[in-house]
Amino acid sequence: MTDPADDVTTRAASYAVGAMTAAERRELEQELRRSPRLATEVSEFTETAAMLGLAAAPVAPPSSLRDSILNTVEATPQPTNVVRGPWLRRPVAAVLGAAAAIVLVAGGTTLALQLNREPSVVEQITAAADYGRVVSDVPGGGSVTAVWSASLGRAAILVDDLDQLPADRIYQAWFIDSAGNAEPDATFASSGAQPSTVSLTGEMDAGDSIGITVEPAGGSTTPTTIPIVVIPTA
Amino acid sequence: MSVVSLSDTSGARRQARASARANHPAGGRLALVEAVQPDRAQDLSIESLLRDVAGGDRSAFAEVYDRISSRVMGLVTRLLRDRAQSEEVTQEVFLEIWQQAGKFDANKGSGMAWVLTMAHRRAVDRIRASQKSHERDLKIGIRDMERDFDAVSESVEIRIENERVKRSMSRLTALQREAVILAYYGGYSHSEMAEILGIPLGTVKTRLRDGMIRLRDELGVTS
Repeated sequence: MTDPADDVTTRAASYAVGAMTAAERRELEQELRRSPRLATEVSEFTETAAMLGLAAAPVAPPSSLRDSILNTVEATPQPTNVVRGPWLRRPVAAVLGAAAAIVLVAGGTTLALQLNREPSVVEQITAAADYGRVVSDVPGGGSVTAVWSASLGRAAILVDDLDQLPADRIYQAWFIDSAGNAEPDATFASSGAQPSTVSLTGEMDAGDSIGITVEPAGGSTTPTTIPIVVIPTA
Repeated sequence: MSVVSLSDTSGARRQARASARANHPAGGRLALVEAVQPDRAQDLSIESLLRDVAGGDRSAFAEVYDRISSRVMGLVTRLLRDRAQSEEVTQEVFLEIWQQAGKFDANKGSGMAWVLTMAHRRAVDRIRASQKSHERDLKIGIRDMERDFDAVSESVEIRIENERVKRSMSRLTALQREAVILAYYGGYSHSEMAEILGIPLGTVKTRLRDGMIRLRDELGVTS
């Protein structure tokens, strides 16, 4: 039985004044996207509650607090949301490398990032001024999105819907320099339909390409197969 | 391949902010918006500043801090009472503003409401985590509210806001007012309120709802 006191308006009012438990709050927040009516009510009651907030007597914080906050902000990089910004639409260089991969301009895939306390490798990369990103479809199915920052020397890939491999095989990432030398990097299993992020542990040099091959379980020190995809970063 | 700068106007905004500060050396306070030219006033809204903050503009962040830190600290102090804890929470709130400004959406509400919602939530979370809520005295909540409204405010705008809220609050029934004050200024949860007041949970929720509906209508809030 639904409690009659649990209708949309009642819950929105409780939410706005902070009377809900953390669990009730989370539940309501998940419903916000599905229920425009709930969202409207929450928005109106939130503005109303803010008027109550403004009616509290102002208290000037000490100037030491201002210094401390500004110093903290000075030292804290801002997390960057990957799906924003003009770089999503920039043209992509022609494909180089052994495998004939099809490189598409980004748009289809988005990286859903949670803002954790510590910025993840992907967040650090995407916050960098020279952040680069290319989405590449993999012949045979799935896609690989590479993100990198040459100034940080870091790169990561987001793999989506790659083919399942036999138990004795694994995917491996490589940094490939302009001379074609491949430096072994992270190994990973297919993610299935759920996109997953693989941070590359090695140092990326400007101009490196990122390649992915199928290797025996455990990985290899030099590629033993032709890459399923090679993504240039310059 | 460097990223194109998003805001060619940020320089102009900075200039507008600087000149507004020059006109009002005391900085701070929303009243300053009215003191500058309308087109600049537009640029100086909290919403506009938050957009600049989202773009990594630290001077815009400092401006936001100077404008609203006493309101954030005021609300947090109202809930927590403890000075040191209130400063800590105020610091957390401003760090959150810096990190989350990209998520602020002016179509969904005002910048001030966005900030005060974060401040209120952090203060309430702090109260509940420390379990101090059980020791708090019901009567203090009501008495402090009167004191807030009677406090001499240094800004005309704050006084007017207080008058508006006070007048609107007077339109609630005593029971509705008590519920709203306990929840919002006291940080009490539904179940705590039910316990303190000795009434069923459903009644608490209904009083809160009816009180907030009347407040919303009295204050003329629409979306």
